[in-house]
Amino acid sequence: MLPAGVTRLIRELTRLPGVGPRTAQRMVFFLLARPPADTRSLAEALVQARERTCECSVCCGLTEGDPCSLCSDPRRDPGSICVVEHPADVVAVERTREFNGRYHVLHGAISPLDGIGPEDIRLAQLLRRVKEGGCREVIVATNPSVEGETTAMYIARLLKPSEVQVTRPASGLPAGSDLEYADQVTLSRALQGRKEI
Amino acid sequence: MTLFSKEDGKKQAVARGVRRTSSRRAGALQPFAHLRCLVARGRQLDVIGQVELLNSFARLREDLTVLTWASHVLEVVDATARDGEQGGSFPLLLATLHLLIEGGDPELTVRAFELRHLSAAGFEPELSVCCRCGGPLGDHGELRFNPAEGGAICATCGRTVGGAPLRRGVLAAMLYLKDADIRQVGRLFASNRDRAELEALLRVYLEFHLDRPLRSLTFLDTLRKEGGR
Repeated sequence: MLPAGVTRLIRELTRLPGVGPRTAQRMVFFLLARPPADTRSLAEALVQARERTCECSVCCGLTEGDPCSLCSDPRRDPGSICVVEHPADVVAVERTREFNGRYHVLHGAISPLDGIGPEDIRLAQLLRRVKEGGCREVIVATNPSVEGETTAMYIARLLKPSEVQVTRPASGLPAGSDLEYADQVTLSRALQGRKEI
Repeated sequence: MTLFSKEDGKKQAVARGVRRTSSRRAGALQPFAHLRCLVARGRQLDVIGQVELLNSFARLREDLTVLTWASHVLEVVDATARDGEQGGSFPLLLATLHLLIEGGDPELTVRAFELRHLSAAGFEPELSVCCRCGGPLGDHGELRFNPAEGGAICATCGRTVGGAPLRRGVLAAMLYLKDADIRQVGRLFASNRDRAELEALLRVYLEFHLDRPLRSLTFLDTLRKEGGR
């Protein structure tokens, strides 16, 4: 019913996360209604992002130049490495402006249930960085999920023989939230990690 | 996500909005969590509504080895349960997770779980008589354990059928782990050799019947290679 090119584009878009056939169809009709220059610009941006983006050889984060701007910035503390699961987590930590060290992106987390082991994420690269020396602290900022905790415990176990301090960000109540509506796990962790004021 | 309940067995359901930081259910809808929840029937997948957390088994997250054993327990339940069947193993699963967080002997607890769950799922290994000839296993000669035949093999049949060697002490341990009160399994004296053989035999048996390797045990192998059981 639809032209072959349009059908193909719908099919390609449904491969994106969270995009079903109806959403994909709406996106395609929107793009077709725009001036051709807009569509060309989007297509070029897609191709350019894919072709120019690579993994930083130091932190495994996404970059256009190797090493990435965060790893090559002399103002950042090389003695502190914040380990995160995904490249988007680097952006989240950077937004806080609280951390001035370097990063390491694992591109996943260990999940025994799903068959994702240490060899499936960028752990060997982290170990190599730590062994090269100059690192005092590794902050394991993986998600507070079972997979994130498993990864954190595994990293702590691996780095135990070295003199590097392994820490984990505190977990507790989100700022501005209501105690009444906090879930039990979060609330009990917040109580366990309470601080004197 | 996959839910496992006493009434409905294994069930696939979606929890909408659970990835939002403001979601009250995010902390509860984690692996191992014991929940009371409202599930609405959907056209394709059921939808999880209200959730009450009964036990998060959060202490599992404090020990990597115990967490891996618990993952293995869930993996076995997930692999053997079929959608729509009653969850006969639910009380056993709950008891096993409780024993794991209470600091019992994780290895023996998991072995007891495996044997009992296999029975409940219809894959019970035959340990009382020879599963080939149906005769007694006897007190002499080398016994075998053969997953394809369904369990223990007497010394006479073992010569033709084959299988992994099964020491009588290990056979007795299996029977105890299968039948004794699960809270008492830690009382069993099992040497490192007994434990290793129990694990190897049941692993081969499970993998034969599930027709795939057990992922959590592969991770456990990695942990052991890097030291510390």
